[in-house]
Amino acid sequence: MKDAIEIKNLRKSYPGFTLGEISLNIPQGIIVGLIGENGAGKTTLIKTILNVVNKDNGNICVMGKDVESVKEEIGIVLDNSFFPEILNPGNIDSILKDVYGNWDSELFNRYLDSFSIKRDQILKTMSKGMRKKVEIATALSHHPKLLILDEPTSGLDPIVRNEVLDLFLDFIQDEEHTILLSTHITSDLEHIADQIVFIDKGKLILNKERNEIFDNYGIMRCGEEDFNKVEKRDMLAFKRNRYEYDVLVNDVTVCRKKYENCIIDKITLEDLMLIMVKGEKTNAGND
Amino acid sequence: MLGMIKKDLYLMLNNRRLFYIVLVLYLGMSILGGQDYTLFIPFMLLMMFLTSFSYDDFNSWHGYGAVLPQGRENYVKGKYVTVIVLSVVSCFFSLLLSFLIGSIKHEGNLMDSLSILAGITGAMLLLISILFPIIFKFGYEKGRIALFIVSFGISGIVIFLGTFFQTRIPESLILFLEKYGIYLAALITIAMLYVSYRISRKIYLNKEL
Repeated sequence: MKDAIEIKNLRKSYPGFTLGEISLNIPQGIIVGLIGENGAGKTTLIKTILNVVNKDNGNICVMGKDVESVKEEIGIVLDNSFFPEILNPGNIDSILKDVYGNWDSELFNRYLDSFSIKRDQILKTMSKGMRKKVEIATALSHHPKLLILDEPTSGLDPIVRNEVLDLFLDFIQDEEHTILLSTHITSDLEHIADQIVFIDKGKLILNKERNEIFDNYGIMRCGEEDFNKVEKRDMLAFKRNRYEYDVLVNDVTVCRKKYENCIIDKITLEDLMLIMVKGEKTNAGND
Repeated sequence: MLGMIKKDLYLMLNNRRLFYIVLVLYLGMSILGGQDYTLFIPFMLLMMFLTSFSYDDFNSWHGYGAVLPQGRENYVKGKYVTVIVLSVVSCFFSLLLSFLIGSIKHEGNLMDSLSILAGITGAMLLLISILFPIIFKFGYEKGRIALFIVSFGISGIVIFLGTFFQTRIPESLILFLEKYGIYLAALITIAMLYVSYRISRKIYLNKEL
């Protein structure tokens, strides 16, 4: 399988924050979910991939080439960055006709219709959710092969969010298409992502297939006595609560047999984030 | 580049109410008063155009613009081409209005208006050539401060040089400037705009957005 995005030893520093070094391969034909708390470096990673900010070190290839030469093939939704708010979707259509060689006005209008958005309504008068829909329609209307989306579903109600997620699933039906999606709404990723990339404090701390996470990982809830019996190699991280411990275990099947007294729940991405960020990590994940 | 030009024109078009109000005001003052205020229209349009930078900054357009194909390059090119075309077109529009008002009032001299407008357009383009690299580097807010400093600075220098050299300029130089001054000014303006464009382009291509 070819890589849609290939990142090697990427490093980007700001005063008080460093992203990297990060090496990451995003294969073609899948949806990759990028998670991490606020300020973890998700947007910096996306902006560095897109050359919006300059990297300090490392190599980035998008569809095997330098990103500048494949921008026609990339659809973008950036968090808090779009057209000036006194423009309307009709203006945007007219502008992007002269920006993208593949711009499809008919498709753009179809998306606007399906989202119930008027062509002449200026962005300023739209709700946050409506504006997001225009951004998504814009990202999809030049037949891109790669979608890079930073918080594309924030501000959308659950019904529209589902519609949008379905759009992304339709997009990915073509095996040449790829999506890199950063979001705080981790439940969205549980439904659609094939691979999860987790960034914390600028470091890549997890990069696994979704099924591997949900089939193998679990949260073991136990008291201090049982916690002390847990072997270090079985746990990835743990968090001490007031009355019990939450332990992130790396093999639910093995641990259920091994620690019969403890309850082991299925994991959600939210649990995973909480325990990895707020808890203490062990070295078992590196085995 | 055409897309970026369209973006700025749509921004101006969606703000056109302000233009109409000022235009009516200028026309009224010019017809009823003793001065021809329509000659300020190019400057007013320049000010309106400069607000496009403000919209771009305020809506964090730059990050999005940079990920469009040749986004950074076309953004800089688009701004320069739009402002030059706008200056020239507004100059002719202003001249036409000046001619019409002159006809209504049975006064005015088209050649006088033309030379005043040529001077205004030249001064505007010189101002832009200094101002744009500052805006591309520091953003519109700081650029606006620079606009006032540059405007007053240039006026001060011109007045100072005029007063200082008044009695010392050789007659041959005055004759030369009378004959070729307009071409020299045009050449200097074009050269300054080109250098300004190269500087702005370099700044924006390497800028963190």
